[in-house]
Amino acid sequence: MISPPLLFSNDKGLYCAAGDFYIDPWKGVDRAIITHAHSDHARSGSSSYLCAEPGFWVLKSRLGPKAIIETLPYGHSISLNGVKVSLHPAGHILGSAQVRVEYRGEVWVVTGDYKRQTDPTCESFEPLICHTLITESTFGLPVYRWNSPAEVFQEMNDWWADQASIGKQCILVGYSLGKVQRMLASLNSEIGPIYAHEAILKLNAAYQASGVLLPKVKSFSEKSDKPGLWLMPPSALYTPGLLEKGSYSTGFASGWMALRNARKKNTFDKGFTLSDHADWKGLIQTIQDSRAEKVLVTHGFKAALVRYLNESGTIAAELETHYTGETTEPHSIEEGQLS
Amino acid sequence: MKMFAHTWLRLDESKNEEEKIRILRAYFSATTPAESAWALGLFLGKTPPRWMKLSDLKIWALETNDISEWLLDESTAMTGDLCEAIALLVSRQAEPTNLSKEEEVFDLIRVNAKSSEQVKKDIIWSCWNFLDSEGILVFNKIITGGFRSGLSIDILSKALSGLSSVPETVIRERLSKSFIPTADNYLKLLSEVSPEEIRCIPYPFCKIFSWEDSVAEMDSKLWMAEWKQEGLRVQIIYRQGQLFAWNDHLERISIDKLPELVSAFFSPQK
Repeated sequence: MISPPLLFSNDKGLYCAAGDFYIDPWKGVDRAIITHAHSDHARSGSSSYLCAEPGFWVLKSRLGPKAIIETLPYGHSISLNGVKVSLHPAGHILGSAQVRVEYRGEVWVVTGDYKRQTDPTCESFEPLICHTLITESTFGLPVYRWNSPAEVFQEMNDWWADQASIGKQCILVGYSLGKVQRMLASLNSEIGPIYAHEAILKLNAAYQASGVLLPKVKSFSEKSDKPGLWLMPPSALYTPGLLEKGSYSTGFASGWMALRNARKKNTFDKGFTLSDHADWKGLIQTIQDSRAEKVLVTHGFKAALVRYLNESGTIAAELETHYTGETTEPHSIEEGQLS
Repeated sequence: MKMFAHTWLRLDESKNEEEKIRILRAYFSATTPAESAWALGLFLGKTPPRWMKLSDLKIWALETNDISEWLLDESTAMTGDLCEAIALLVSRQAEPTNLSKEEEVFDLIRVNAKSSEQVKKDIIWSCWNFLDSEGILVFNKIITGGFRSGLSIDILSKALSGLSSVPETVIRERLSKSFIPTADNYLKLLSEVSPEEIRCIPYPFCKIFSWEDSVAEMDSKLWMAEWKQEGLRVQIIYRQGQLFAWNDHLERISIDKLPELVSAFFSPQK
């Protein structure tokens, strides 16, 4: 009898039958292992959750006080029905983890969302060796390539300083979980005051409770006349009456801003190519580092990455999931769970 | 070229005229007259003749870069622009070489269209190796004849007049004549206004504004009402025995184009 693969996708999520647990399930299950707290990976409704230790407060803020959340330090393992499970840094956001699953000598790794760049607000990605790798492919085309974070933040600070010099406020839009905290850690707060939307302040508090140092930011109600930088989630961009029309410049930070047509099409004055996902080179590097015999590709440019891998001599296939990665349109980003 | 490419992309992305003018001024202030001249030529649409077909550029990119055609096609579908997809795929983001001045790349671009294929390939190869992806994008567009600046003479005149004491209308007038991109011509563009030019500086054109309230509330010292006519609004000035005409964008119109008006209202021989 052919045994089922160690992990496979069913109607509830990515399932390990031998260990009877799910990874990032999209429906309520008994035991959910969560790679990170973004809403397409961490959904409410499960009986119990397991996440990496540094991700506890962030996940709690997302799932609410009643959620039962256990944690595991990075690199430590537990046994679930004889299946060895450990969590390892994915470098995506605070507490993001790759899930390493080992059973009868076979090792699978689920990357979750990840990036290979450094990020002062979370631990760096740890390359893992495995037999089967399940990787994301949000930016799985070679046109997606990131400049160094230092260059991007220099560009961001230059934009802010330049706009401030002509008396303009700057509205900077990005994911309220992960992206904003990463930006905050690298923005030059000497340029002017930094304000943040309430949803961001709440997540900043979760980061600070986890020991991440972030510069002091003000709430919108503390606004002064001095030109400042306003951090907002995409859904809050058009807050009525917040700033006078014509008095501000808007910026959007996303990996999608790497392409000219995306920058031109959106309504922002300035696009910054900054992503918490791996670019093409990062994806290929990770797959090579894993020495995996087989690669399963989830959300993103699945077909292209799979074809490229198969043509390059790595067995690869697509894996259906409900994950979305970094959404293209800023207004379609789900922020509902922040309330 | 790197700075030019970066500037052009920022201009391309900007949705605000005031911002575009600031970007242009920053570029012209930071570059030599020769570099500024080249850039201005490109902004005015005076691109060098195309010397590479886009389809050939694709073949050349595939031959030299171990890229599958389908992957380049997928990438092009995403960028919507083959020049950009090639730029992103072939760019090595190498350290700058000694080929660093804007004008050196501009000179390379100006290759004779009749040069041998090998000469053209050598130029493409060295530019692809030297430039970053932004530079390669612009380079690819120029050599394949697809470069469009999207800038009007109006906006360029505003930007350049802010860098000198030359009024915007004079810059516009100078730009509307043939501009050959050389350092000398660029410097002449910003040189002192001649008495001849002073004669043909128009008055600011009063744009038409609609008035929603009653006419009685209009302050007659601030407003002037005129019947709305179909046709072209022009400003005509008679100075020192010569007639000049401008449209409402303050672009000079040849008097020869307005014979009825001239004969009806003025006598240039007076």
